[in-house]
Amino acid sequence: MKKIITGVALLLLTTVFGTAQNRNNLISLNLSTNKLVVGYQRSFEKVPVWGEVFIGVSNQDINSSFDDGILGLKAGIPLFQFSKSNIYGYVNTGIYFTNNDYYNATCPFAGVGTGYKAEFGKNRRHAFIAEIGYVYGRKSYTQTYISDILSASTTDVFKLSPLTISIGYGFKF
Amino acid sequence: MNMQILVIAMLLCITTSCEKEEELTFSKGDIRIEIETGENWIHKFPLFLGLTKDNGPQFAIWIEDTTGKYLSTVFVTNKIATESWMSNKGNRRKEALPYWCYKRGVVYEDGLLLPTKEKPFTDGISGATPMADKEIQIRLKDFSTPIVIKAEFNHSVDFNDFFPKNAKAEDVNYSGGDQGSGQPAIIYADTLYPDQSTVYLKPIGRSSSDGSDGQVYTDLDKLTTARNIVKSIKIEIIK
Repeated sequence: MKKIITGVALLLLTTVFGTAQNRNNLISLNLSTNKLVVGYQRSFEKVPVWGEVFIGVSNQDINSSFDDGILGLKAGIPLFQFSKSNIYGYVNTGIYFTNNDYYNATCPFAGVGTGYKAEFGKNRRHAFIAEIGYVYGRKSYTQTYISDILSASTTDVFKLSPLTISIGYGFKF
Repeated sequence: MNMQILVIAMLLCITTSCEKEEELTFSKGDIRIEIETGENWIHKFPLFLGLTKDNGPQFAIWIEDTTGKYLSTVFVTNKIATESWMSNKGNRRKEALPYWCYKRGVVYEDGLLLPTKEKPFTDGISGATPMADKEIQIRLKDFSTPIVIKAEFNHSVDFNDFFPKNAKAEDVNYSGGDQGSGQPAIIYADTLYPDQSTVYLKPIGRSSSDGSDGQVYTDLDKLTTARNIVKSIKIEIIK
């Protein structure tokens, strides 16, 4: 998983520096109760839609540590436009990587939500972002323990917390 | 073009999320454990301002030989396995599953028999408390002699008249204070012989209410709702 995260991060940086001459790009840092996510967002030129790739750490598996990985894509569309802010709707999807001693449940997810983005600062390059959304992600898995005495197995289901509320900061370039 | 790629990638991710459920595959000689939840499997855990959270019980299943020697844990719920209690205010919850703790007999740095965050339980399966019935498969390396299967179940803050919230630490019915156990853990057990096909574990007693010893107390009449945490624990040898 570390290789995947490193690869995506390098790709992200390449993309960022390769397109730095216009203002269709935004990098963001979003924080919620169970995850911390960095995103790179790019607005499309011909349609009022933006796409985003995001990567982060999360804490939703058994071990209560911020050591899970999250990687995904998001697409959004402005719903209401104001002079320095907008309200948008978004859909997202991705993969959640659990990281613990007890099970492995790489879990695809998909979600929908709405957000508020307010731009501020010189040339409005900074943004405050708040989002609320619903995400669906569940993965059935088998756990097995083997010792000199027995082997034991059971099945269980890993589910992502469905409600997501986050706030964040964005920088346009 | 960029947008098409984005949409295709998102559809691929959504499609892969529609996958089939994992199932256990049993062979001849395997032991199937089926826990059927009782009417008090889910308990209301108080949070604040009258809000509550649906809580499942903590439980452990393990095997012993017929002399009472502990052999192996099969399954234990993760809160006790990883010390991930909510609102425990530093209380290590030794009253949660004391009989299993004493049988397992692993002493940690603070002198307690409870796994810690730093050294969590790893000698068996651990997972979140299921919200519905649970199935576990055991395959013994040597099943030529009988074994004893035991299980211990307990809810937090499950107080009753015999184990009240206001019991003091010096009282015989103290159960860990206002965030403690309330009714102590209930213990089930039965012996499984290789030539049997099915047995149901029977309640044999309760644990120490404050977790101070590993005895089995037979006064089950002091338990009320705790007796209905589990409806049945069926053990089946696959023939």
